[in-house]
Amino acid sequence: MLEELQTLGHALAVAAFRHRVLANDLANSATPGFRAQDVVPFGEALASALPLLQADPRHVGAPSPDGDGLGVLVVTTSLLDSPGGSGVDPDATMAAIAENALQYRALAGAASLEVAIARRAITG
Amino acid sequence: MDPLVHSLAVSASGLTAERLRLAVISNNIANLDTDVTPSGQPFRRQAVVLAERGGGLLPVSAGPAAVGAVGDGVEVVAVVEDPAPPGRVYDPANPLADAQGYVARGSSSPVLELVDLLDAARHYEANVTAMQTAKTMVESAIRIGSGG
Repeated sequence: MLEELQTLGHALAVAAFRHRVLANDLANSATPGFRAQDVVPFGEALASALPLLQADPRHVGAPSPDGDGLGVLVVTTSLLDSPGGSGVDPDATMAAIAENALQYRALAGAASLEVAIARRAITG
Repeated sequence: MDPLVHSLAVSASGLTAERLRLAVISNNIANLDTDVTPSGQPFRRQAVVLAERGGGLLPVSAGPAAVGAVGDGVEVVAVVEDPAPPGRVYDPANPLADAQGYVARGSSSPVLELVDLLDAARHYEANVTAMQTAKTMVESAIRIGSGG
């Protein structure tokens, strides 16, 4: 039970960190030369960057993206500079912020339930 | 600091920068017909230069296994004058008029300034929304365990 709470806590921390990165994108949406960033799960980023060949099942493969998903990587999402402006798409950033906030609230709700179950177990 | 609480400061930097931008645009609009400034030169439209603040490596406390540099919001690093020469307006009655009756005036246009004004206002609103989102996220975190 405590492990689940810990996992939820990590996921909450990732979502909080992602909001901070997206808020920085939005604050810099008028900064010339700025390039938008986002947060991706580390396993996913590594798997797409290093497609490892496994000739033998005993070879070490790329970490599975659906692992514990706790590590994150900050990546630049806009590779092209728009002339005179920033590489931030405000609409896409707002959508990502809204989605991330929903995910955060869902995780917080799940953590609340975990605590409620633990309390029930303690008090009987 | 908690990244959520810190993102409030990041969004606040966007609000501050956009408000200064609004002030500069308002000054440009107010001076659309200004012929002379205290320096004796004709008025030229001004613009803010925005730059990402910080951008250094994050402290370990910023997030789990954070790799890469995330900036610390935005700031106005300079207010610059438009280098374009001001336009010339025919106004022979003006004491500042030259021999042909022209006055140096109007380095900007109301259209240009109003478009800038709208842009700054939209950016300001976007930062307000990001700030409100962070607030609801913090509130939902505070409620963990308090309900049934």
